[in-house]
Amino acid sequence: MQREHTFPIAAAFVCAYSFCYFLAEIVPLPLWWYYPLEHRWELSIGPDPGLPMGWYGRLIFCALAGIFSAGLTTLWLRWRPNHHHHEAWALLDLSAMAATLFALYYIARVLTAASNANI
Amino acid sequence: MFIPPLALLLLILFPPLAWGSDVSVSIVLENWGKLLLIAHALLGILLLGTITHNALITWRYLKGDFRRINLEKLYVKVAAVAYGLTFTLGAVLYPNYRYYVRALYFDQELPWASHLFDIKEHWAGIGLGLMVAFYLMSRTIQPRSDRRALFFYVFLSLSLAVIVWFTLISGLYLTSLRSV
Repeated sequence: MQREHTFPIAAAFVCAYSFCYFLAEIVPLPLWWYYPLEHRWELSIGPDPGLPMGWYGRLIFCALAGIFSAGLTTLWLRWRPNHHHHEAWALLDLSAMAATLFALYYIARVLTAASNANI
Repeated sequence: MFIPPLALLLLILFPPLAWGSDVSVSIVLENWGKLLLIAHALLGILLLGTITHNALITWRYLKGDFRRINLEKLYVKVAAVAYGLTFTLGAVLYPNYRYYVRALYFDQELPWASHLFDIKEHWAGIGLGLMVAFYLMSRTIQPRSDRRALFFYVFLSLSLAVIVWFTLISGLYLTSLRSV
């Protein structure tokens, strides 16, 4: 991997990771849920009754999305190593920053007004 | 009865199984809760120091001051290790908190504290992704010449500083209300 390729790969990772964090907040997605009293994991769209924890599953989902996005960007850069993508990288960079700031804002805004969530 | 301070500290950190916990339930590492929590807080303070110093240096990059590049990259390495360890300890402690603190106390008496903790954990979760990208970029970026990547790099540094300040202060405050 060339040195200058780290920036778009990192930006693609952050963009997908932050966006999926927000996505998991608004869309019911299949996630891993952990039940600490029963010491059990379950992959489901929503939690079962009991004491569910969805935070671990959300992190796994976001990490996989980020790795997938970074992998696609790496493949693209290997396929077109000498192609100039300045506008595309600027857009990716901006998207990553916007997705991160919006996810942070959205979570703070929603949770200050929300009823108890199963995280 | 006189209990030597060291023995008292050990009793607090490693309480007998029946102390302060519901013996009918078992949570992962529940008897190590206080020790893990102290380690979590200490590593969080280390992280706060390194990421704040890092942010102060990267902020100067935007003004054209590149005198402390090596020091800044050292801060990133220390911060990445501290973030990873702090985060891992927090994740290990989380089931303990979820039952003994949140379910049995916060949700019933202080629901706003549950929400504050949720914000803290989600921000720390987002920060994990930022830290991975920040560490990867710090290994290759040359702030003097990589002007295109520099703004994003500084954004990551400043965002992580804000996240760490918020999570540490809110975490210490919540712990003062009820801890594992």
